[in-house]
Amino acid sequence: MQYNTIDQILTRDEKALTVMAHDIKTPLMAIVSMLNVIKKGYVDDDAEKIKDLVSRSIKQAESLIAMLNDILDYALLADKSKVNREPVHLSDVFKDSISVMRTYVDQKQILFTYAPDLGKEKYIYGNRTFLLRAFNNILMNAVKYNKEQGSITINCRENNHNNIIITFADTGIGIPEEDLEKVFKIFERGRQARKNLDGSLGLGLSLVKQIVDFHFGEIAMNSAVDKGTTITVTLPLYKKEK
Amino acid sequence: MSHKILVVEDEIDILEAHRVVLERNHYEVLTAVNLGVAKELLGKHKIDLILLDVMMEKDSDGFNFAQYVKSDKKFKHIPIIMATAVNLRTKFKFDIEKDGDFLPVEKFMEKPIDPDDLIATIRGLLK
Repeated sequence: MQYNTIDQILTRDEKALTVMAHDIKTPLMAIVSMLNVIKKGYVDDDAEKIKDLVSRSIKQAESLIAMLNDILDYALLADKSKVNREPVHLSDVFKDSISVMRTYVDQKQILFTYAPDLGKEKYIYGNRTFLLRAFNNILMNAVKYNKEQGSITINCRENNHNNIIITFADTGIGIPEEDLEKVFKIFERGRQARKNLDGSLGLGLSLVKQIVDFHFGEIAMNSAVDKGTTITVTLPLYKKEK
Repeated sequence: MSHKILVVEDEIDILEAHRVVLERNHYEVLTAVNLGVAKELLGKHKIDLILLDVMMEKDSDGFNFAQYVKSDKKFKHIPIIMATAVNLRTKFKFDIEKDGDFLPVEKFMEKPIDPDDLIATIRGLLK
């Protein structure tokens, strides 16, 4: 007799909902646990500990906000007709994304390399906010999974088919080969991987894939455990009328 | 001499909350975020009680560790409190009466655990 596992029985939506509920519940339980310690008076005489527990609670709450933002974006992208498209100056998106990442990169003393005129005079016909979100999510992974004093390199080149090919290479922990195909699928990452990424990452790369799809592009990933990961995003260029 | 409690929990903030409450109640606390560390600490120290998260990296980690402790003559006397959350996928809810046979622990406590209840339970088990 053959048995089905729970994962085989649940539909994709049911699976997504249960994983989502779990991912929301875990930080909430941590918050309630820490605030209860304060409320019940266990640390009344220790202002530093109170501050520490409150800071940890805020960090957990922020990870929840990030996760819910991902969910909202994901839902919005499900109906592509509702998302505005316009010519987007690629170098502006890079500039904004790099400036957001700068603090995180510096904290971990990561060597960050990119050409200053990345995407100069290149336009994508799409949505600036979502493109920025995609680059931020990719770079956030590159930072969080990276080693201290590791490196992140962004490169950009144009091919003969009017596409721009952007590579994001990091020297992080890498992803085992058997997990590579799962990373772009909603909620299919391991529990540990989701935790490492401050909660927002259950959806992070699947959201990136949705965004790349929205821009008629392609995304690919190469990775080697303990060596690093390279994500390649190919996007069709928009020829702006002069 | 204060009792030594091993807390096994992979969510570091929950671990910290437990650690603070237990230390304030004069217990000596050892913490482990995975089963490897937990087993190592168990071998090195004389543990009086284990507070164990039911589901860590893998769904079965908590169960496996409880079995490991209770099947070893050196450790089987150590009471275990298992911190449980209703498993969203399986809808499992644990009960000492009905699940005690296959889950050899002394007490289940549902997460998030109230710190006062935790201390009362530990006092009861260490009497």
